[in-house]
Amino acid sequence: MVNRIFVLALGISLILAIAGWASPALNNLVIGATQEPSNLLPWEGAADTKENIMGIFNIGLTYFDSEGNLQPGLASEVPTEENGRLLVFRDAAGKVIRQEVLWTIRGDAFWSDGTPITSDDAVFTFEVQNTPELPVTTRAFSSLIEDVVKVDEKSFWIHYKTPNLFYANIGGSVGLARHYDIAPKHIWEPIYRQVMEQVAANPDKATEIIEGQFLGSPPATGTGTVVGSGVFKFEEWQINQFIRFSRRDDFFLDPPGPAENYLQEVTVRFIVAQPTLLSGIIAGEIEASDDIGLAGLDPAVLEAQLRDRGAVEVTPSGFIEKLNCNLFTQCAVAADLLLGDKRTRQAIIQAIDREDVATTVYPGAIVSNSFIIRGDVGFTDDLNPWPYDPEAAKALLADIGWADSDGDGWLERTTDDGREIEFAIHWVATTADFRIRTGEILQEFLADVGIKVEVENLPGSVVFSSEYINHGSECTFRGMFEYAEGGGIAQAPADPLSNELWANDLLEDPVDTTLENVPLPDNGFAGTNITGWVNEEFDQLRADALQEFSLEKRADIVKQMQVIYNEELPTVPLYERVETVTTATGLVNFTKGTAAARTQFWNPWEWGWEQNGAVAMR
Amino acid sequence: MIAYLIRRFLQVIPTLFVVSLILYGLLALKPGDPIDELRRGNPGFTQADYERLRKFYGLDKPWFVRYWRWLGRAVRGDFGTSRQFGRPAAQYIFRFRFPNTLLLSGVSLLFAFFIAVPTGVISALHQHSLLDYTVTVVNFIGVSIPIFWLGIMLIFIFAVVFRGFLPAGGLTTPGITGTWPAIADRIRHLILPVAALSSLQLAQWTRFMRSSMLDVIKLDYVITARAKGLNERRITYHHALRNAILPLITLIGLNVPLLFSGAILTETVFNWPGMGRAIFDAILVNDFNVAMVSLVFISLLVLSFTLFADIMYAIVDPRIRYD
Amino acid sequence: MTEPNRRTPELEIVRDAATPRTESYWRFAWRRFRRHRLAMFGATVIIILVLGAILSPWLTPYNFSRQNRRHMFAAPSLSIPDDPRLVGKCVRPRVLWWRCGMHPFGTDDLGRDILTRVFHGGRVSLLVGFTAAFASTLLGSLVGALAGYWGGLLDAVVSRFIEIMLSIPQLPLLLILVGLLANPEVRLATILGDLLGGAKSIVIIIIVIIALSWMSTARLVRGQVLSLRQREFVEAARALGTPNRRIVFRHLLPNTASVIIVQATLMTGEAILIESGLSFLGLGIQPPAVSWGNMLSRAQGFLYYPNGVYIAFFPGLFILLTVLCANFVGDGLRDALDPRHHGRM
Repeated sequence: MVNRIFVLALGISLILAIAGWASPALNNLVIGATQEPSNLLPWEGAADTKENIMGIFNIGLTYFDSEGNLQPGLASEVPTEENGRLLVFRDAAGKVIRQEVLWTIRGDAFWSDGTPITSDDAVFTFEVQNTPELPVTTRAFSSLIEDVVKVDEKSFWIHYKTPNLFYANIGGSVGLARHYDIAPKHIWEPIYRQVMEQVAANPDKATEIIEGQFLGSPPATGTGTVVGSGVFKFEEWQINQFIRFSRRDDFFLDPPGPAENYLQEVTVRFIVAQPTLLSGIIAGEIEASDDIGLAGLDPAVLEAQLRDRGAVEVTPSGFIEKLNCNLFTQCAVAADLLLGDKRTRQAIIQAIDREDVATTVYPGAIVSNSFIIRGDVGFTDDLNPWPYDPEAAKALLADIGWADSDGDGWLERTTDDGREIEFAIHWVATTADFRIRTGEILQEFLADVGIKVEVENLPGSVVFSSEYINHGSECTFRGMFEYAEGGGIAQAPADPLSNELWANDLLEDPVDTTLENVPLPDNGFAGTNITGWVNEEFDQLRADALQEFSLEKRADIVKQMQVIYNEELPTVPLYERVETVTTATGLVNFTKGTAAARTQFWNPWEWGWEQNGAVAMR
Repeated sequence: MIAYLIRRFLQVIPTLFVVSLILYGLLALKPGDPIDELRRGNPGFTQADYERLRKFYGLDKPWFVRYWRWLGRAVRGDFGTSRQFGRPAAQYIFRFRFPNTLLLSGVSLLFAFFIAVPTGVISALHQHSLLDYTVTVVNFIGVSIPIFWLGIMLIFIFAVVFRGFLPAGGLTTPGITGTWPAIADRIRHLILPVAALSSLQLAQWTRFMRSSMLDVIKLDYVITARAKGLNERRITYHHALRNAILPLITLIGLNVPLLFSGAILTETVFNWPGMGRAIFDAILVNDFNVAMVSLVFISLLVLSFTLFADIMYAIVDPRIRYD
Repeated sequence: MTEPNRRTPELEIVRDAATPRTESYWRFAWRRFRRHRLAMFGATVIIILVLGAILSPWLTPYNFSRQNRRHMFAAPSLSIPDDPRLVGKCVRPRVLWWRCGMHPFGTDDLGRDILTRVFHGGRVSLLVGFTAAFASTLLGSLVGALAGYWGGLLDAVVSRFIEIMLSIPQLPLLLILVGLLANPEVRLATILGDLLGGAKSIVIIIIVIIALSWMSTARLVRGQVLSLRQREFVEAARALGTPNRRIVFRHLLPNTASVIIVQATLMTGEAILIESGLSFLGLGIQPPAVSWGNMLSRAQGFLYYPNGVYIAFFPGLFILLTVLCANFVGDGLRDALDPRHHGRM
């Protein structure tokens, strides 16, 4: 009897399963993402994931299009010296002492609830950004701002006390909010005032108040009214499942043709595991992927699986995967290996067939020899390509003094104080699949020249903790630390966001010799130059570049910096990562184009299905 | 014995305190704190920012001070905010993750129960038959198979080979409208995870039911009843089954907490947004509040169900004395 | 043991109540075990696997970590590719019928031979399984027997401790412990790292599994001892003035021996499953060391690659096989050693 019931239940489920297979098709899009933002607070949060989500229902003062051109978004025009919106004040020596930028918001820019976007919003956004008690993620740019001054309803000045070359760029470098520059005052001000009052009244409970009522406020968690400046408006957020948006009809940027032909609804679905994401894409449940979820997957395999259901796009990501070497003399283990001698690093780079590594673990990636990515200001190919040459590597190592004295296949040498050491180098990276594979491949390559690699894969929460990454001088990582960082996306290098190679801030004070950017005991282990590389010429060039408003002149300076880098190799660049994005057949204008656009989410108003009349423009 | 049980019941609370202390201490020992997640994703993050945020979240205090503060708030029902998601930790777990695990584990439990009981009974009644041997071998496989491997193989067969016949994971497909398609969609997404998760339980309980049934059948009173001429089926179903099923209930009781915390492997393979996976992620990124509230909850489950099991044991086997 | 000549009534009780552990008992048990077909099959397979694991460096033509990036994701086959570049480097040209170039289980995502890795993974997985199982059973039995026999404060403390630890969900506790011990910033971890080098993760896993498994054995043995303690033969032995140590070691433990032996066997399977589960989650054995579990952890990402499924299929199959056989043997032992518990879990 029980068995019969069981069979019946099985039958019903099968029928339902087949029934549930067909899903209705609206003018909507389901995007699959592997990371979920923690909240929708404009002033806070990690870079990529949240930027994508926020980009669906927000737009910044400017944006980069898929050709890499900076376009005005909320702003009526991009401020430049030519149109008089950028004022640069120099002193007698030519050093920039002050910078002022005039922004005007478009007349037809409205928040998604119909309220006009005004300069009051901008002033308020800066006020919040500057509030010391709030856990704003970074003040790297807002600390350059002296104040934000309202001119009229739509115009305001930003006064910078030190030059900000990226005054019009995206990603928070204007110095207002981290995400898309301007936050809605009419939504956030009541919450902000209330929180600050309570904090003033109960300073010892400040954390709980801010956590609960600001970070946990309805607009931040999506449980209340969420208002944005972009083409889609927020509808709902089912945590760990999806966020849904629907189209506004009063957005100021229009795609060609009637807006009804383009997407009316967008849902971002959160799928933590890559294989599940893949299967959803192949099954057709997910119609587009974001730029993070498919990292490291072979596009050829994707294409083979998708067949005619969709297309695969591979775009440069703006991140360079590199081996950061521990150059601290304070770390005895690393110093013994003579990592401080550039010939060691040159030997390492020639011992690795970087082409092979890139094609194996990250298909589509391009070998890099610089710290700037292709297409960025000052990028040059005119550098030593360091081709795969194990013999040259062995020769260099022999020059330095390594030899396989005992014939066990590993190199040894005797140190100055008479110790005999083996060339065993520590390599650490996160536990991402492609990095695990890289470690194993590197082991093989370096073993061929007699270097033993000790592989260690640790979770990102460990290796990116400041106790780890900023303490190379104390031998936390003691050889090579592999990770990727932004290679300066349409920004000069030597900027706080993307370069960790400078040591002394000659811009601040040309005479001062303290190494602000190298984490050492005397500066409290602060700084982003985790390798400990110090090169005066490089630092001077950086200071020059940061004051150079002319793109061509800046490009020249940057080229010189790359030549130094390419010769010294404080970090061994492996490859420029690419992003793999899938789109279902018929989806148009969902593309990144160049690294400058940062993500595929720069133009949601143009997304559409060709079947429904959308025009493919890119 | 009643006194013993009452004492056990009262011991639950202090045990929970000790458990929470141990857990908090262990978690705190792990280097790395929630700020590092922010740092990782933000290229502009400076050391000054890091110090500021650290002080803000009170992470510069020693762990027992932090534990005391956590405890003070916890007994009032405030389990803090999840650093990952900005929501109250308890709300995050119990409104958004726990129901999913409950659904998965609950369906697995029911599925396993309703298959195990009849299979075990039939197997016992037809001992040494071909069916019995087959069931035994299948059961052995069931307790020996790694759940995550079973899950991967199921995904491979039903989602890759039969392209998309069953989803490879997740809770639902977005964009399904209407009640019946939505329910059907839910069932589709449940089939494979339940098959994987319940495999171990199904095998164990079938074996247990079988042996329990065998023991009971051989008991004298059953033979007596048979001798008295009662209907064969009545004997099995009403007398033997009722007695044989009690130990199984006990076993199930002990297994329930396992279904909640141990589902992490299934939840990982099938990308099921459940509590098991939430615990794992929280531990990895040092989201103390979420980790603590879920671990303490499961500990409470374990304690309660162990107590329940002890009561059942006492009922079932009066020879056991607690002194 | 009591002398067979003295026939006083108390000693009769002593002798009859306790299942005699004479030599004929073990031989009798062995005969019963031999009749259990599944158990014999299981034991044979395990012996073969263990032998294969021990001898693995000599049984394969490949080095388990040698990559062949030109021949990744190869399908399982017994034919040798014509293109010599696809053949890759071998340690020896052939082992019996297995020639260099043959990949009976295919190759993985870096071109390494899967069958070779299964052999080598077996070494680690079996080592972890047996060591953790036996050590934890030993530890648990001792603690459980002592606690059960002496009662009083010792028993109270041990029982409460076990109860508290068992209320903490086991898998998360495992994760936390592994995270602690594997973390380079924890002092103990660096000490272990310096001592053991590459074997660090193996030892950590063994320690962690022992730390969490001994408790269920202890509980089991304690329960057994508790019920035995109240039996007549123990009271009689005590009345006769037998010292406590003798009672524990000569009377109680041998009576629980059957339980302990069965427990050790079943724990082997458990330990292998725990290790593979942890490695699957990324916290167990770390590459470049290979275990069956960590072969599976990367496999899930390759299910969509052509022939990618084999990376997952074979290690898991071997885990299943090993644990299955361990369970067969355990079941057989249980039947053979203590016929009263026939059929029960």
